[in-house]
This record gives sequence, structure tokens and C-alpha cells, in this order.
Amino acid sequence: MTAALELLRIEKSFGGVRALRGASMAVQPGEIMGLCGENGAGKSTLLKVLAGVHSFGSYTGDVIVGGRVRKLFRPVDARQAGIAVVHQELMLVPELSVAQNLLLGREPSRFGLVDEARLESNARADLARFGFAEQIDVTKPVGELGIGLQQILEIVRALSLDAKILVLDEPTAALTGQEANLLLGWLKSLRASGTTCIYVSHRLDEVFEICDRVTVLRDGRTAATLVTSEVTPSRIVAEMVGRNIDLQTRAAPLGARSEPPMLTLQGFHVNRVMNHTEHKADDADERRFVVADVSLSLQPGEIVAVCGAMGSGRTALLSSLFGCARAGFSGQVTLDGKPAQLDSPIAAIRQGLAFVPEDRKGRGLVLGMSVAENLALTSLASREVMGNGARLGLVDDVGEARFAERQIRALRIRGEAGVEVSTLSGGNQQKVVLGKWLARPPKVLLLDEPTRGVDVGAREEIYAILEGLAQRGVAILFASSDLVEVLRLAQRIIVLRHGRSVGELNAVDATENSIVELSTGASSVGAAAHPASNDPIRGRAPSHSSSSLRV
Amino acid sequence: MTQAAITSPRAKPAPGLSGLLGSRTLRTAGVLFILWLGLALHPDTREAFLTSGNLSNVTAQVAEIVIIGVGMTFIVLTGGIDLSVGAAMALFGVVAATLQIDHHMPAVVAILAAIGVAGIVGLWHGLLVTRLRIPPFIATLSGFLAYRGLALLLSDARGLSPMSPDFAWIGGQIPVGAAFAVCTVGYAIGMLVMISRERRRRAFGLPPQAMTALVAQGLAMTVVFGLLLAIYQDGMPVPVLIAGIVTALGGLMLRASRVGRYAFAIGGNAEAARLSGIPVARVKVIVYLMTALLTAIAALISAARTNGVTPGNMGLIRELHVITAVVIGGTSLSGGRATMLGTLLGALIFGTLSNGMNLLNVNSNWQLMFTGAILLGASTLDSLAIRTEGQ
Repeated sequence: MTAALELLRIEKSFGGVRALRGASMAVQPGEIMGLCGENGAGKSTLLKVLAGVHSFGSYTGDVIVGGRVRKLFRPVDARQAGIAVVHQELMLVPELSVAQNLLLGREPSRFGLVDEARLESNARADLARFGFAEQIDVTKPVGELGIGLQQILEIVRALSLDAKILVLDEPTAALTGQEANLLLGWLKSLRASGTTCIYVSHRLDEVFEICDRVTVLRDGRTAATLVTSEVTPSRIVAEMVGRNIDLQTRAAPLGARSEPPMLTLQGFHVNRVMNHTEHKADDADERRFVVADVSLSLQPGEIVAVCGAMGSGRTALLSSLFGCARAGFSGQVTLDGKPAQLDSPIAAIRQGLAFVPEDRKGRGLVLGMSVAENLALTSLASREVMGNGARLGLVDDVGEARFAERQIRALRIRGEAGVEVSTLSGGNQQKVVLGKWLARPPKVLLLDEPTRGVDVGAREEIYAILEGLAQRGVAILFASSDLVEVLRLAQRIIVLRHGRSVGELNAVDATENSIVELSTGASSVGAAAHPASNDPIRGRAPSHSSSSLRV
Repeated sequence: MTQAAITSPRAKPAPGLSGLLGSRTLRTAGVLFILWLGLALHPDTREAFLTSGNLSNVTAQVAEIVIIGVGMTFIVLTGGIDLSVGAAMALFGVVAATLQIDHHMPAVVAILAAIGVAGIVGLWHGLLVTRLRIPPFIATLSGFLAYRGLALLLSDARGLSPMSPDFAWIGGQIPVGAAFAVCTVGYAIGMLVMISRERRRRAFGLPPQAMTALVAQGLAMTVVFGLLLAIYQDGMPVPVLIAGIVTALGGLMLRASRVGRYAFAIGGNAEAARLSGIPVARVKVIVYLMTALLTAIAALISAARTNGVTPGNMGLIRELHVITAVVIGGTSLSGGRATMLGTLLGALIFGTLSNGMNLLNVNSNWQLMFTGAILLGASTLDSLAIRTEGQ
């Protein structure tokens, strides 16, 4: 039988980084193929190749659809080949009606104007074909539908373009348990009617529920293709992680300390920013909170990691501790024994917090400014740095330059004080973001992805800087999706899933497998004997038969 | 020599002349020079243009634009804009004029009242932009409409004239002796600042500026000093003196104050600025407040120079003149980039252009089109320069 879609040795590089190094997969007609892999394994790059975002020529290898080699130069080529990629972020216009969205870009016209009647009847026909004519009112603005129906609408739109292969990227990431069940059930019925599908997900429980087979990507290559009914979730996790990391350089466990904690959280909730068009009636916990009921405590000098899949609340946790919770938070936070006021970054800084955000260029640096100006940005009011002029509100450029030289030497930043910070390499830029907090070391340093896009050498230097700070008593809380980094740096690891803390691991006992199992819920799939209670936030009673999953 | 070690590995000269001004500013100065050269050589303008009387007049005319431009530079630097300044001039002018003419108040009271109203207007803009998060374009567009209406209302749409005698000095001149003294003091301060800054750098073992850059700076200051002496040999208009002081203080604030640095950071990356603990809202309120206050000063100058206020006309499309000057000066409308010297030069180019066209008897409709073309040309050059830098 000819495969519906075959990918042969796809390779794709960004600069010097090889994101895909020969990924291959073959999807049979009428099957749902899972696609799994850690962050950075190459999943999203592969999807972009399929969507025609990365032009043919910038990738090498063959995309074969129904036996024909297709060269995907542009998104429209992918569509013509019959590949429809539904991205994680919905591409619907909330203000337009369901019908207008469904036929966006191919409106039927009459006398040069949009033929509204035909538009609506076409949209109704499309929805009826997939069995949603009753549930979705085509005249309603899309924004008034729940996220689950919006996701379905997006898929209907893709299928109504005569897609032969449907590619879904984390379609349940934003859905509640009920919505996800509706979607998964519908996908099964689509499969029964012959639709071919690639299903990308971090959630192994879902993969086991609906996928016939799974392709696992690791470091840009296909690590394995497995039949779900023949393997256990742990096997998939093992293929995802793959490597045996060098366990020699691991964080030294912190000796038992009796010091009072530097930072404590009690029942910390962060509210989700609500779009006013979103369903009001829907007040599921998961929808209301990005971070729900997290409690933790940090000793001075301790380095703790926050792990979890994308969207698990890692970033929200850190940035709300730094006073960036737009929709507010609740719970008790104490800092150095006192209740903390976290209503703005200014307040957070005043109380001794510092934050290195994930998006270095977007949130960490002022790219048009020099290295010195960026380094001094947080210290302009400090008399130590700016001398007595600071009182008058003056900036002493000599004081600034001296301060910058000191930081450049201390952090080994390779770049001159006077050059624009945008000319530095990623690692050196990251050191600048870090350096601006070190004029006076903070009590608690928060870092989101401390070494994303940083080369290996600079990475070790950053680890050394962080460890040096910890030795001086700074408590460090960092979020990372790089498990090697987590195991290298952290003394304790907190794993989040859907905003909740699902486990705390000691660095000594933790392995990549144990972290991935906790964060994907693989361990709870394995323990499917008491299905309803093991995942309280999803609250979803797994409809899959547990017999095929039992280890 | 304990600090010598700091410099050794990267003893490259610190940003010199070009770093200080930005090559954009040098280009602008070049354009101004070419304009002046052209007008000085052109047979129809040769005699009239290069006289101290005419040049003094040109600078007096652009003083208003420069003064408001200093504030506008800060606003545009933070990524904002103020479209209300022209209409606000009419409002502040009417406040000052009615108090003097209808209520027979002394000039001091009228001046303070105009500045007080300006304070309220500036805070109002700051409040709209920071608290209510109304885009600056809209917030000040509403002022553009409302303030002129209010000015017409307060004055019953009459022309108000004449202003009281103790008000006239604002539009007057200071005698030649005082003018020379002012120029000399300014020149001396400029030189001293340059030298002491350099000595301080060396004392701390920081890489020194290149000698050529220092000499060029000194030379430029000397040339400007000489030019000022030549232009103001019959005395200096008070508006020019005010504009000079405002520009100097504005430049200091932009380059050497915390507010200035914060404004650069906010315009460059507002989110990074916020996460660095910069009081973003406070800085924005300050720049709108400052601009409104400077607009009041410009309104008072305008009222004094014309010895009256016509509320329907005063400051008409002034906001666009000011924005033109700021943009020609190299301040980026998307924020994050600005020089005070650039704004000054931009205003001078604008003033020279209209002066030259007046001397050439170009009709006013063509003048508008030429001004538009110059703005377009400056912006095109700029975006081309940015594109090539980016590559």
C-alpha cells in the first residue's frame, strides 16, 4: 500500500544549528500517527516544513504525498499537496462570524460583492458534513464559541479545503477535559471515515488513546516508530530522552540547613488573562488559573528548577513572582520572612527579586543601547554606581563605563562596553541580562530558560556564575525545558503539569525519565488502574481501555 | 595607576565625535550647511540672506519650533507623539492675553497662569496615556480639536491685542554686550565640560576619546561661537536666548539624566524597561508635562512677538512643523533614537528653507510642497541608511 505521506531524510539547519538531521516517517492512509519528542527535538521544525513555511531548498529530503514527490516552496504548495496543518495558536478572526471564518479567503462572490447567502449555505454544508450543524451557529462571531469548538472549527476549515493529511499541533493544549474528550472522540470518527492524521502532543495519555502508531523524534532524527498497542508509555519516554547523560557533573545536594527560608509560596494561584469574548459560564479551574495551588520554599543559596511541558505554567509562575501577573494572583508569598508585595516589577526589585526573562531580545535587553547602558539600566539610581549625581537624577557616563567594565570582567562578557548589545552573541547577551542585576546581588534570582540559544561553552560559564551567586546566599529559582541543564544545576526539581505542582524530585534521585514521566503524565497513564482520580485538574475519565496500557 | 588594568585588553577609543552626535546628526548639519551655502551664493538671495539681521530673524522665528521640539523629542523618543501642541499654543496664548487685556493683570500673573494651565494640560495627557492607556495619537488628537475650540470660546473668537507693555520684553532683544557675554559663557561651559569629562575618564583609567574627535568637537564649538557672535552683533532676540537655554538643558536631560536614559530604554524596548524596574508611567507623564510647559513658553513668545493673540490662527499646524523638525533631526518615530542637536538642526533647516523661499518670492503653496518634499527626503535617506546598516 502506498503511504499517504512519507518523509524521507528531512534535514534543516538554522545557521549552524541543525534542527533536523534526517527525520523520516511514513503515515498510512486512514491512520492517526502520533509525533512525540522533547522540546527542541525538531517537531515544530518538521511541522513548518510540512506547512510550507520553510521553503524547499532551505530543507533537504523528500516529502512524498500519495506516491508523488512534492516540493513545498510556499504554504500554498502544501495546501495543494493536500496537507493541512492546524497550528497550536488558532488562526481564526474572533470578530468575524463562523461562516465568514470558514470561507475566509475564498468567499463566493456575486456581482463583485460577497454573496452572503451562498457563503452561509456553504458554511452550513461544511459543518453538516462533519456533524456540527446543530452545535455551531454559523452566524455567531467565532469569539463567542468556546475554545474547544473553535479548535474544531479550525480543523473543519482545514478539511473543507480537501486536505488529504491533517496535521494537528497540540490541539488540546488550551482545552478543558470535556472539550478535549469531544475533540478526541471526533478525531476517532474522522479516522473511521478514512481521514489520515498526524497528531503532535506532549500528552502521552492522549497519544495512547487515539494514535495507532507513534514516531518519536530525538535530536532532529527519527528515534523510533512504535505501535501504541504494543508498547508502554515508559518506552516512548525512553526513546524521547534516549541519551544517558553524564551524571558526573551534577548539582551537589545542599547540606541540611536550618536557616529560615528566603522565599516561600503557600497556595499560590495565578489567574489567567481572560479574553472578554471568552465563555463566561466556563469556570473550570484549569481555565481560570495558569498556575494553581503551588506551594514551595527556597533556602538561601539553594538552586531549584521548575520543569514542565510548554504551557504548564513555568513562565507564569516566575513572571508573576516578579510582579507581572496581569490578571492578578492569590496565595501567600513571603520573602526573607516578610510578606511580599508583588504588584509591579519595581516593587519586586525593591524587595530583592531579580528576573531574567526567557525572551532575551524581546524582554531582556534594549537592543539599540550599548552594553554599558544595558548593564547600568537597573543601577541608574544607585549612588554606588552613579556617584552623588544620582541624587540629582543625573547619569554619570564615566561611572557607568566603570561599572560596565567591572561587570564585563567579572562575567567575562566578550564585547566592549560601548558597542550595541545587539552585536553580541547569544551567550554574551544573556550575561548582560544577568549582569544588570548583579550590581547588588538580589535575594532571590528568577530565571526563565537561563541558557536558551546559548552555546555550550558560555552555558557552563553561566552555570558557574549562578553557582557562585548561590554560594553567596542568593536563592535561585529557574525554569527550564532543557533536562540536562536541570540535572546539571538544580538541587531540587519541581514539576508542573497544567499549572499544578505534580511532584518534587531531589536532584540525587531525579532522572530525565522521571521528570518527563511526571510532566507528561506518562506515569499516571501507566497507573491507569484508578483512572478518574489520578489527574484531578483534567478531571477527565479516560475513555481508553486500560488493558492495552497496563505495563 | 591602579586602574590601568581595567583598560588594557580593550583599549579601543570610546565613542568619539561620531558616537556622540551620531552620523545622522552630521548628515543633518551637512544639509543645513549646503542650504546656507546655496542661499549665500544664489544671485537672488546673496545680498539679503547672509546678513546678521536676516539670520538673527531666522533664528528668532524658529525659536518656537526649537522650544517645543525639545519636549517633542522626548515624547517621540518614548514612542509617543503630541499632536496638540499647536492648538495648545492658542489656548495658552489666549489665557495669557485675556488676563492682560480683559482683566488688566500684570504680565507676571498672565505668564504664570499660562504655565499653570499648561501644567494641567500636560498632566492630563500623561494621565490619558499611562492610566487610561489611550494611544498618544488619539489622546493628543482630542486635544488638537478641543484646545482650539476652548481658545476660541474663552476669547469669544476675537483677536486679542495689544499685550501689556511689561510683557513685550519676551519678544525683544538683549543688547549686544549681554549677547556676547551669554555666548562666551556658553562657549566656555561647553569647552570646560568637554575637557573635564575627558580628564575624569582618564583619571579612572577608562579608554580616552581619540584626539581627533576631541579636536573636532572643540573646533565645531569654536565655529559655532564665531557664527553666533557674527549673527548677534546687533543684539540677541530674547526668544533665541530662551531657545538656547532650553536646548542646552534639554540636551543635558536627554544625555545625562536618569529620565533621559529611561526614555531611551522605554522607546527601545518598553517591556525590557519595565522588567528592569524603570518607572515607565512616571517617565511618560514627565515628558508630556514637559512638552506642555515648553509649549506655553513658545505661546508666550509668539504672543509677545506679534503683540497679540488670534486664537483661530496662533500655532496653526505648528505641531506638524515641530514633528517635521524632530524627524529631520533624526529622532525615530518608532522610538528609541533621538538627539537634541538633531532637533535643533532640523528646526534650523525648516526655518532656513522658509526664509530662503520667502526671499526667492516662492508662493506659499509651493513652500508647503517643498517642505513636504524635504521631510520625505530626510525620512527616505534615514530608512535607506537603516536598511543598509541592517544588512
